[in-house]
Amino acid sequence: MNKNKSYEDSVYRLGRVSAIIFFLATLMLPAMLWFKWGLLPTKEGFIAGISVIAVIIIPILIGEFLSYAPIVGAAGYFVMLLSGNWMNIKIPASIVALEATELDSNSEEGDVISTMAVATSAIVTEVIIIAGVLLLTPFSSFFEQPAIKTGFEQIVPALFGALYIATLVKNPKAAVVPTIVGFAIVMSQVVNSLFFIPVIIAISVLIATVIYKIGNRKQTIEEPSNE
Amino acid sequence: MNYLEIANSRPMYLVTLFILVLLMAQAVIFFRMAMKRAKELKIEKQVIHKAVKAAAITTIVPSIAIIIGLISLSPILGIPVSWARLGMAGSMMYELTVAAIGAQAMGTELGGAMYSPQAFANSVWLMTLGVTPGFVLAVLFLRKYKSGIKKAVSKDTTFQTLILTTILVSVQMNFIAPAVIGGGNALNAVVIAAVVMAVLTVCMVKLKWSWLKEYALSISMITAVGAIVLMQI
Repeated sequence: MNKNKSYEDSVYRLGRVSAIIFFLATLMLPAMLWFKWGLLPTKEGFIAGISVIAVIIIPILIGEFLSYAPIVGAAGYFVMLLSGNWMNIKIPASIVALEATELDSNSEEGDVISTMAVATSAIVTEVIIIAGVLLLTPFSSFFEQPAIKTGFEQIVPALFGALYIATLVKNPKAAVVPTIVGFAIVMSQVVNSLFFIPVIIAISVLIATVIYKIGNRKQTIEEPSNE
Repeated sequence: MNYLEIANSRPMYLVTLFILVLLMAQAVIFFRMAMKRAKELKIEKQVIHKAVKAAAITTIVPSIAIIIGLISLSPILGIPVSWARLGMAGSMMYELTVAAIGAQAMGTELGGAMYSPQAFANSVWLMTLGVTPGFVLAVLFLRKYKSGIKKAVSKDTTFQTLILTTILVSVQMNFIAPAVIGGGNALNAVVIAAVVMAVLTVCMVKLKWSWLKEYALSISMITAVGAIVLMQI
């Protein structure tokens, strides 16, 4: 337990320090434009842009934080924070690694394995992108063919179609509520598509919790000897 | 000087490489920390090997999609900025949206004829600053939030699994439902990948082909993309 505590402490310490350093480093790109070439946006343009972004992005990022933090370990979360591409790469990699090793994501072992999976995934992605940058010219002509381009544009729906089946097989009952809520929210178009995820999660978790609690209570009433 | 010459200049590449080194270093350090912890928890080497292999294989196909994003973004923002934003800290949808807002706020259009050096600078500033809340939330609140969730659900593992699955399926629905409702290639992709995954799952369960677990997701994605490419020809 004690060792777990010290592992957790060092995860958060390294996570926080690396996040701050990394964020400051990303500022070097626009700063370089400014110091080396004197390139700055106009004050009006910058203020207009930042206000639009604040309105759109802040709720999205809060939604992402609330949605993804429970499904990845803390160390994995900090790796994702720096390397991006959460839902399309890092989380599937973690899910598949946990499946292959038959570990539970909530266990300590699962947390460690998920961290290794996300870190491996981050490194592999960067290596592939480096190869992509080096070979950008030959790649461009191949991937810019309309048929190839159209095919790869559908990688995200393909990924989630497959992941959905994997989740469904593992836990069919739990998938029912979010599936219905998901279709209802998307079809009704009551919210902007940017906010689909947090809205679907909030409603589904609420309904699932209520159903679970009611089911539990019924069970205790019907089988009092079990308690 | 054309803004693209600036965007593709050596100093911009150097900064991008520096950011990349930081990112890789952090991933390696976390990996080693987890490795050490795995030893303490007596997780077998074979299990670790399996997990690493599974994660690496699953990463390959969607990473190729990032290169395609890079191909479409780099003529507008230059290679270093596109690389730093797509491969690190961001994602295609986010970066495109924010870069476009940056251009619009400067009275022009992303990649349009009037897209000036100043508009480019605005796009870069906004893409960089736009993710600030994500970093602030993680640094200040991740630990509190995670221990809060643990307390709320930890007494009951069935409930814990239910909530985690609900969250996961909700995220999946964000991508599946619009594809199913909208139809077309997106629907084909969902259906083909889902059918392939279902067949592979049957093989894994009935024929006990457990080695397939690491490849199933990648095979499903590749088949769907391949089928859509063939449909175009």
